[in-house]
Amino acid sequence: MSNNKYLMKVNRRNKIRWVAIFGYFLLILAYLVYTYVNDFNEELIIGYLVLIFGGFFFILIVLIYPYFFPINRPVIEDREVIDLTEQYTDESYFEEVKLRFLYYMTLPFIVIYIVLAVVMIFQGSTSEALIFAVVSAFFLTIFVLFEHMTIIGYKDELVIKFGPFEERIMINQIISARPTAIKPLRTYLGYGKRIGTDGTIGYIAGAKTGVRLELQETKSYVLTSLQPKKLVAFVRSRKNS
Amino acid sequence: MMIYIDPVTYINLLRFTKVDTLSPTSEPSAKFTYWHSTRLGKSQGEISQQQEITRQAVSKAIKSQERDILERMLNFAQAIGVLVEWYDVSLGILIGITPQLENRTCLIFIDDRNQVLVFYDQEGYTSDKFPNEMAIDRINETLHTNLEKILGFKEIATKLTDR
Repeated sequence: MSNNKYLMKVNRRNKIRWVAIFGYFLLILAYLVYTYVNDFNEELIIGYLVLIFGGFFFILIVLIYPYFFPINRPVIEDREVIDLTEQYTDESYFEEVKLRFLYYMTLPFIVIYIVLAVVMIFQGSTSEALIFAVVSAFFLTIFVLFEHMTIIGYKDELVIKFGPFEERIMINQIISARPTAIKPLRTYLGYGKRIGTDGTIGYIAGAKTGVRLELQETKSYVLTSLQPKKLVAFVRSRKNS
Repeated sequence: MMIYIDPVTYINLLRFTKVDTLSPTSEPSAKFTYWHSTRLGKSQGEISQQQEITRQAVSKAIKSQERDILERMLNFAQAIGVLVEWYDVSLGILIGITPQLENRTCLIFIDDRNQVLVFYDQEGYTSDKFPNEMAIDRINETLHTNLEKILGFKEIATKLTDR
């Protein structure tokens, strides 16, 4: 597939994904408004459940589809056309990319729910305090798990750790490693381990730059990195040694 | 005409890119001016004295501008379908391969007015004596260098990093 076709297909699929998500939420919103205005009856409840679950599965299919039907871009092997790779002398590579977005999304909730739990204890309602404590613990767990992503480069493999996810990529399987721009929301619909519009597996943390690894058997990874040039230099130096 | 770009890529760029436009931008920001001064060889101390601000503030502004420049160059490369081979943020220059143009190399450069310029390697495609003259002229003009007009993109990158 030519690169122009790749770009066009990716953009088309991006639009489909976003329209599906917005459409789903608009449908739910419309239904909520309708049921609020009219009296609640059994038929409406069944309709609502069908909408929620049916829509959820539809969205799931839309999100997972690129993984099974990836859009392959032309792969050019490292150093094939032009070689400007910089020297990488260290034996290993280590990088930690923080997910700052999570600080704003979880820390306020953790504090609020802890405060509420303490207030409830003083008011004597232990069951409510317990609920608030559990919710706070849930947010705390998410924060601790996804606060940062780690990329560790060893002699013959790259290890990516992000929360409960861990991926080992053998360096001799990598055909090409190149710096790339990352649009976390537009292409990957969020952060964490994600499936991109073109079917790439993305480890997306808090930066808009990263490295795209093209592997044998048309598998591709996109890793967020604050220093893509250094990571590329490491991969290429290990490949050659 | 400062930008060498083929019609198909140009149409794609206009249709799909959300990162930049080819029109001149407004006045460069202070951050950009500090960064541009350092790329011309000025030290952070000199800039802080000249602007009467702390050295930490200059350092922070330059670091932030470097991230912006990197994101902008990579976004631009992705939008026009360029596979990135090499870049230097401190120089505002990126070299990549364009598969849709028979793997022709491409140079993306941030000029002194904060505009993104795209040049495609003309070597072997034109009968000109100096195929990359336009790109080299812009680089020389912006970075106050004296690169020879005969150079290819790879040699430009090597000469600039050795500078």
